[in-house]
Amino acid sequence: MTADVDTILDMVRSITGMDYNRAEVSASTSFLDDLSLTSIQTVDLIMAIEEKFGVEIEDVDLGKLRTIGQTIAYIQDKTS
Amino acid sequence: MTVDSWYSAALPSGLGDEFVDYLRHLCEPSYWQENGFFLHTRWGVLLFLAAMPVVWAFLFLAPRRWWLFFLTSISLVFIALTLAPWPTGGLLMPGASELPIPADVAKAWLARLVGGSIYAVLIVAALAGVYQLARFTARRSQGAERNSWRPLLAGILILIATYFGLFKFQEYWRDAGSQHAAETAVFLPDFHEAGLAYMFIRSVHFLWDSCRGHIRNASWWRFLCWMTFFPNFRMGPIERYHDFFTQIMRCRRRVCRWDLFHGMRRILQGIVKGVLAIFIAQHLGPALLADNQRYLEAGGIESLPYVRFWVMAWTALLGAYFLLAGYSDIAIGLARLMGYRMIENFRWVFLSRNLNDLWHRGHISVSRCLRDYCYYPLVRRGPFRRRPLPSSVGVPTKRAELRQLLPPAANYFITFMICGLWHKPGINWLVWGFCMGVGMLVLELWMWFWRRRARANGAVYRVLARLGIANGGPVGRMLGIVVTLNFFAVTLFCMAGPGAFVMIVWEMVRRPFAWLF
Repeated sequence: MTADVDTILDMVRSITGMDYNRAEVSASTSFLDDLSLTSIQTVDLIMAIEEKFGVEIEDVDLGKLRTIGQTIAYIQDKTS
Repeated sequence: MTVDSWYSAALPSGLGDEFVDYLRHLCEPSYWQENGFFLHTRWGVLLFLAAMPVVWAFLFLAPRRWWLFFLTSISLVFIALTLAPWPTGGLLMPGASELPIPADVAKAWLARLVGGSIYAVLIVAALAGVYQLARFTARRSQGAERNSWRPLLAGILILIATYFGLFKFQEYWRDAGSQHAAETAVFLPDFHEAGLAYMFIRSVHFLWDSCRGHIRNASWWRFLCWMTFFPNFRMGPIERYHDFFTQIMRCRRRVCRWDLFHGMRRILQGIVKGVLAIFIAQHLGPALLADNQRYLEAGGIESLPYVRFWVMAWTALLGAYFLLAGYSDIAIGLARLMGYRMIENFRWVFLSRNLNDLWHRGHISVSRCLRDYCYYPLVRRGPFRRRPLPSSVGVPTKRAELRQLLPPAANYFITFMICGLWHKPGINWLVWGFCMGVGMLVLELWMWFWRRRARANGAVYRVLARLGIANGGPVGRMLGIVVTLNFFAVTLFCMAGPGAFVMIVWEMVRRPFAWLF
């Protein structure tokens, strides 16, 4: 399983139940500012990522995952 | 209501003239001597600017291995000169001349210097304790089977007990001091003024990350240098250990004229904010309270003009913002003069469209620490942890979603009440934390409500979305900003005590609907 924008966006869709315009979403899209995730939803997303990609994300690293691009880079770093 | 009557209801009379006098007073040296809002020093930031040539000289000329040692030394000198709280210390503290010190000038300076040095030594001793505690718990954590959390929790509890124990000890001595003559009074520091509150958060970060293996082989000198770094020692922003050393070791190669320009610009911004904070704290706030007293004596809280409640709330909000943001600007500017790019502490905070956003824009370094070391561990592993809905459920019902949403929201209450107690252990800040928790809970329910509406995509929702109210539209964002800022401003009434807070909020809610009854 490779992490890319579409995969992460699908996970966000399943958590929020909202439909986002794919054309407006890129690696620099922010979870908080652009996708309006709350703190609890961010935790949902992290748990989903841990389950899907088999990585363990430390609490102190959660704050670094602010955009889709940062999350993809973090997953790739962990899985490699 | 005419503009004049509205103005007289909102603000005490003569405030405009007082502001002009205040601005005029800025041109006098005595203002800068008395109002050392930065680090509570006489002459404030000017003292630090005067020392910058020495820092630059070391930055460019001293061998690399001496850089951290020098930085630590100069930080400790500043702590000794500016933050020592008791009569013999606080060489440059405002009001130091009023304390019982020897009349002879030379003896007075010597006494303050000795007192300041003792204070710096005590800070170093306290930090040595934190360092040893972190090393001990890290060894126990990493040696334990399955990377146990117990040593870490024990270490954190020791830190918390020490912090609150010291606070209570301070309160006890302050009370004892006020009951006796001034000569026997013992002046212990206010935790925020003396930098202990931020030292506590840095200690938690160091202990936590050491135990979890994020910080390895931290030497005593590096730890001391990071902990006592003088620009942000007293009030942040809080730099993480690794971020600090990534930056500080680059300083020697990076400082350039743009750093000087941006550093000076930020310091000027900070001074302007500090000047406004002092006006609010020393002129506007007391004038409002005195004028309120006149109304209260005349006819109780009912006689207070409605607009006055909002003016008081916003005065408190702006006072807190100018003080913290001003201090952060100066800290960031001072660090930038050395080529060090410090984390931003405030980012367009008055554009926060909800409480969650507010805590991502305001007091950023503290809220990040709270999030990383309190909220996330609680919501992922605590008793009210987040449990995902099973994927086999399909479209969840309203009740199932609420059952999943509400328990983790308890973590907001816990986190913000801890945040309140960190500000000052006492019922006022505890109530403030509870109000923040209520605000976050309401926000979660509000977001959940709109998510359901968006999924249903009904006619009303589509109309609201077209009008820019729903679906993150501009009107909705504007309304969010107004509600968020006013909510936060009103929660600051908690500082008046729980009883007064309830009475004020009730009056603010009741008054607009009084015509109904």
